[in-house]
Amino acid sequence: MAQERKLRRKAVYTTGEAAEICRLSQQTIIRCFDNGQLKGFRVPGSKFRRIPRRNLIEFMKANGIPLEGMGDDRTRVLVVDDDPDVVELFIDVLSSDPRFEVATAQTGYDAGVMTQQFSPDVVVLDYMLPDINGNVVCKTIRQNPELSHIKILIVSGMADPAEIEKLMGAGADDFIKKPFNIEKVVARIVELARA
Amino acid sequence: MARFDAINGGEETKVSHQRLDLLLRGMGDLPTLPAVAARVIELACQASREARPSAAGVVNAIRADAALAVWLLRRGRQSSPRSAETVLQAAESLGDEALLSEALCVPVPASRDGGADGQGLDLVEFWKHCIACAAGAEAIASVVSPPVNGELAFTCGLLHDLGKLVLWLLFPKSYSRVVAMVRRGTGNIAEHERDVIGLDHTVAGRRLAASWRLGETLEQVIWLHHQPVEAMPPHLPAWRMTCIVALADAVARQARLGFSGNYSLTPADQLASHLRLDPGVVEHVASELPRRVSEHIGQLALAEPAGERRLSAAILAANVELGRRNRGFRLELSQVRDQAGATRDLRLLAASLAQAASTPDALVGIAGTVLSAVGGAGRGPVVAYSIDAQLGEVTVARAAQGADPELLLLAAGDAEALLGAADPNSLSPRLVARLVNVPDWPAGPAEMVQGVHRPLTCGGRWVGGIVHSHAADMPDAAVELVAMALAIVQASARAAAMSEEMSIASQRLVESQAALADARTRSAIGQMAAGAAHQINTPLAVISGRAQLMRDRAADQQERQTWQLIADRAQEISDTVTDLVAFASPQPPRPQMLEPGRLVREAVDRFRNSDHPQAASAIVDIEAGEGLAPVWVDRDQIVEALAAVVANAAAASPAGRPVRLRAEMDEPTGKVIVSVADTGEGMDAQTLQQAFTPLVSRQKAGRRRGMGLPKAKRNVENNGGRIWIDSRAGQGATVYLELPGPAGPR
Repeated sequence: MAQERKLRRKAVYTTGEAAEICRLSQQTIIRCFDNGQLKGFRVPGSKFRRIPRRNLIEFMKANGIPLEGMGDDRTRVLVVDDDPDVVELFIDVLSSDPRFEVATAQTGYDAGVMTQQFSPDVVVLDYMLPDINGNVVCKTIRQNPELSHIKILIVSGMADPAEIEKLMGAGADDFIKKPFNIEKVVARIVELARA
Repeated sequence: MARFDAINGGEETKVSHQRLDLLLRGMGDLPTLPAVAARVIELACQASREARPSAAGVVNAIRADAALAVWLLRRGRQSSPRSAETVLQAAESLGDEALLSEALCVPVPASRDGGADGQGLDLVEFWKHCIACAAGAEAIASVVSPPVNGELAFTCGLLHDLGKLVLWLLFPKSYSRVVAMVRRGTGNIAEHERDVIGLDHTVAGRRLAASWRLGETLEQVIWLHHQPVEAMPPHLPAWRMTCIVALADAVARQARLGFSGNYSLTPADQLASHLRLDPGVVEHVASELPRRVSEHIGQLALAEPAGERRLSAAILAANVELGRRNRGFRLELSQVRDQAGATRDLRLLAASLAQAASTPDALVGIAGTVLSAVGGAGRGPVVAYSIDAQLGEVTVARAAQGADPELLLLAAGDAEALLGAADPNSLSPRLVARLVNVPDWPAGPAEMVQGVHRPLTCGGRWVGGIVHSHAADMPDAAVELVAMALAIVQASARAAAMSEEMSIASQRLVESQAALADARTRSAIGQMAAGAAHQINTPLAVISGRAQLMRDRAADQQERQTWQLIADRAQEISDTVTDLVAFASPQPPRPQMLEPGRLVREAVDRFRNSDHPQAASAIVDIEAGEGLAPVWVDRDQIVEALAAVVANAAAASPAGRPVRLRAEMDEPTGKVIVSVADTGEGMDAQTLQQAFTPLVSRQKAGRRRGMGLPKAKRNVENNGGRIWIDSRAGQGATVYLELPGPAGPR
């Protein structure tokens, strides 16, 4: 599933990839490419065909092929924090931004459930949660190979460098201290999602 | 004899008891008859020449001679008054050697022998009488019931008329008259004695026996043997003995054996009946008596003629024999003195060794002492070694003539071989040779070990040994002393080692406990701090975040600025909290070798990159030589500290005036000192005092939170450095940081 999701994020597709997404045979894709129904280009100096994303989407829409995650290239962000005001803040910031799709959780347990359900790209995780600490959530996510594409951004009011190091060691991708600069956090999330 | 006369002046006056005592005190030993003296000396000479001299023969003779019996009794009782009652016991308490030596020089008798010229006491006859009484008393003692000590009876019988001899010796003229009166056949000698001299032989004898402490029984017998039996209280301890002697006396007189000066016959039967003796028994004793007496007389050679000549010959022989014995004793004495001296020295050595600080010291002392004891020209050096199997240590010391004692190093293989040797008494000659390892060892390897290696063992444990060409000459006692002393030193060395280990262990324990307590405290504070930070920072995040959102939606610039202000101040609160938290539980430093110049430049960079108001505008002069010694510190912490100090200095300096940053070596201590000097107002005394106190900031311009210097101090001190300020009001301030080098405090 991770592979699939990655697949659906690509900017340029090979004919084989396009075939997989559309659930058509590669031959069909090649024929459509060649007869101009599916627009694209050839790799300079070779015969290989390439299909840019929007052209593929256009093709799929034109032929009624279900988009299934292709059209939705928003970054899914799961915000995990037990303070409702902080959660509110993130919702306000992220949901008004068309780049993001937001879900929230207020306990470690909920975080686990939402990770399965929502399938986020980035998890914004507070360290101190009522039931378990953030680093355990971190470790649990990392232990699951299917979730290896998820980026974890820890946001915490705590400042102990040793603890921060431990968190990074547990598999977090970055750390941001509260209170934070909203712009910087958003930029960071975008960076992580793109990586 | 002349002396007695001189003491006694005129003999016409009767003698008082006081005078008698005085005279008795002046008396030497009673002399014996020449013949007897000669005989005794002859016997003693003979016995002394034997390989194992025995005084039995001499004692046998002495026992029957009145004068010599007293002489021996006196000496025996001097050394053990309680156990020497009889002559035989006295002889035992003296011992054979001493007895023979004394017998060789018995008192030489006077030439006067009353019997020879018909005047005075006939000593030979008197002697016979004494012997007869002695033999009789011994015989009677064995037949009475319950029986009495025969030997004691013999002695009592022998000496019962001692007083007569005494009076004869003290008052020869008077006694001659007494004897003459007795010869005329009238009366009792005691009566005559009292008439002429003033006291009788029983009193004189008793006084002598008392004065010479010859024993209670003897005293009583001497005193009371003439008393009528009925007159004697039966509870007297010596009652029976006195009766026996009296009876023996009567029997002897009846048999006319010797001279007693008493011709009146006392009824022997009366005495016999008091002792519950059958008259037949008494008769039997009487009949046996002459034979016994002549036996004794024969033994003493009493009847032999030419006593004087024999005596002279005997004395000459005795002289030779005494000379020989003397030489022998002198030799023994000098040997014993030598040994005693050696033992004394070694005892001193042992005493000092017991206080020796270490095994090597002790060994050096031992080797030196043994060298002075048995060493000598051409005998080679002394090697002393100590072996402690428990600690697995072998120490070797060597002392040679004319050189200081020194410690030797054994090759590892040899030490192992020594430690592994099963029996110290049979070390291989090769091992002993390697132990000594000197080219000038007198004997060749083959002759070595025998007698050359003396192992030192104490309580069955092999503690060491001595190797020397003449080690066999050391007395066993000395070797044992040395072994014991070495064992004591080893034990105290082990105790010292153990106590050192224990003190290290307890130190470590204390340290680890302190570290544990520290860690717990830190973790407690850390946890609290983490919690506090979280509790403060989360609401601040909300405030800051909302302010930011409001700012973005602000209608005008003023509103925008207001919202921005709120966000900024919220951030500031958070920074303060962060600083305080970090200050409360500082991170342990992770030191590296760093070049001071680089540190300084990094600090300035950090300052420039910070949001300090003067970050861009301040002028900073850096002077950091290239060849500075590296420092051993945590990079981040020290850079942070330096940056804070620089920021402070920049804030204090007026615009356009540089901050001087210098890094140099302090010659005496070899440490690197970084100094940051500003040209600002300087600090007055109060400011100086509070310079490192958190949250107190006196700066007027660019006022910061007041954590710069406190943080710097904490960081620097955590890394083992020092920080101090030199300032005077109006003259700027210089902050000095001393940073530790690689050999710095751990």
